[in-house]
This record gives sequence, structure tokens and C-alpha cells, in this order.
Amino acid sequence: MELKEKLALIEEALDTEEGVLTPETILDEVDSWDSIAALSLIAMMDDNFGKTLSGAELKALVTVGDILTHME
Amino acid sequence: MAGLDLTGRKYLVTGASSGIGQAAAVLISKLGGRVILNGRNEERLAQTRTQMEGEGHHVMPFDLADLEHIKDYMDLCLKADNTRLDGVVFAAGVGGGNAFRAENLDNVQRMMQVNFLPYFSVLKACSSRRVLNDGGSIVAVSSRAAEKPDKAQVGYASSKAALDSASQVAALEFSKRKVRVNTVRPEMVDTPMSAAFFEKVPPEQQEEFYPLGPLTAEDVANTIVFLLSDMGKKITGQHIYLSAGNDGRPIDFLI
Repeated sequence: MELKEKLALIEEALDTEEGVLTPETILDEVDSWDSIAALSLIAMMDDNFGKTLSGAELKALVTVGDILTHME
Repeated sequence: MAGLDLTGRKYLVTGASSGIGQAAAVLISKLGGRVILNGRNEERLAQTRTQMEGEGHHVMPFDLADLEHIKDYMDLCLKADNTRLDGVVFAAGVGGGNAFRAENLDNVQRMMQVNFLPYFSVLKACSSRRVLNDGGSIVAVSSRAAEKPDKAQVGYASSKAALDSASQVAALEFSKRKVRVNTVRPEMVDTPMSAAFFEKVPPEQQEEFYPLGPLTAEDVANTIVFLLSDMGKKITGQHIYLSAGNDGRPIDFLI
């Protein structure tokens, strides 16, 4: 899966506008990064990559790039 | 009246080919809103369209029981004029039912499939601001049966109660975006769906049930549009009971 597609999946989970996130984006600066976005992210990772993000992994996320490292 | 003005806003109305959905579509258009008309039958939707005012409305038939494709359908609703929705009126539904001994699983499943599950999918789509603008308003047509079910209403009442609960959950989740979610719970409404009641119950008895007069589709549409508009902007997660003066007596005339 290409970077662009992965970013689109993250944008959908975080409910941002299309094309606004980059690997450098800091999650705490994204207005819609909240508990529901985190749950949506977990569901998206499970649906698309068969991975279950742990609580510790979630807490460790700082940037969009950190999410991308789990999408392989 | 400024607070009721819907100019510039776009609404999806399901079940727009008759009854409450049709009345809501017509009223929204009179207040300046644009409407995507949903129903199964294109001709009947086109008939609703002829009663509406203004421009920018779209007749877009689709059977909401086709749950798998609701998201695709809603994407088409956005693409119709490349704008997002400002609200949804969920008025699609069926009535009827039987006493437990005569009821069967297929009927109850069908009731959930038509009355409730499509609403889940619509709400899920609206959980994204790419579908529904911040500040939007969603109103579903529930029923008095959700709170005061009568005999022979196991499927119907349960499906409406599910609708109400889902709306409360959505109201909590969407409030951050100032998106509101409410339902209306009318008594019997004089529409094709309730024709049996109005045919079987003589007028004087109807008056006893409903001292304010039986509800019309327009009466219900008035409350729906109030909830869509800025007049209702602090109301969310509620179920508005349209009693028509009924004191809660059962409507178990069919049993």
C-alpha cells in the first residue's frame, strides 16, 4: 500500500479533510484527534492490517508518522 | 421567521414519496432548503418534487434495505451537487405486526431491516464531517410505540425503540461537532401507513383518542423542521412526543 493510501485511511479514521495530514503532523495539533478517533484508528488497523494496537502503543503515538510505522 | 430559515442548507429526506417524509421535504423546500428525495419509487418521488418550491432538489431513488450500499448511495447524494449535507430526515419505515402467537421471526427481522438498520448506516455515514457539516441536525421518525407499545407491536415498537436509543448515542458522540440528533414520537398519523386505523375507528372515537384532532403528516413535519432549524439548536438526544391530546390510552384496536 502506498503512502498516499495509508494517509487517506488515517484521515478517514481521524475524520479530517482529505489531504491535510503528512507524516510530520503532530496528533495533538489535530482538532479531531480524540477518544473516538483513537477507537476508529484501532478499528481501521484491525480491518486493514489485522493488527491490534495496544493501549501502550496508542499512548506512544505522537505524529502521523508513528501511526504509519504500524501500517505494514 | 429567521430562526426557521433553511436557505443554503441541504437535507437528505428518506421516505420522501409519501406521508411524513413527503410533508417534511415540501416544508423544507418552502423554508429555502434543498432536498435529496429518497424513496424506492422514482415516479412517486417525482410527484413529491412537483409539490416543492425552489431549485436544487434531487430525486434519488434507492432502497435503504440494501444496507451494504447505503454509504455508496450517500456519496452519490453528496456528488449530486458537490456539497455536503446539513441534515437528514429519516422517515422511511413500515408498520404492521402481529401478536406474539401469530408473529414470526421473518417479520420481526424485516421490521429491523427496514425501520432500524438503515438508520444505523445513515448515522455511521454522518459520523464523518465529510458527509454531514458541523452544526447539522438529524431527525428520525420514531413513534409513541417506542415508549408505550401496544399489543401486536413487538417488531414495530422494538425497531422504533432501537431508533431512539441509537439517536441518543449519536447525540452524545456528535455533540463535539454541534451536530444534533433527535426523534419525534407521534401518535397515529393520518398517512397511508396508518390507513387501517383511520378506516376502522369511527370519527367520534378518533376524537376521544385525540382531543386535539388526529395528527397529519404536516403536523409532524412542523416539529421535524423545528428540530432541523436553528430554533432547535440546543435540543439534542431527545424524543418529542406528539400526543394530539391522547392521555396514553392504548391503541390496540386491531386485537
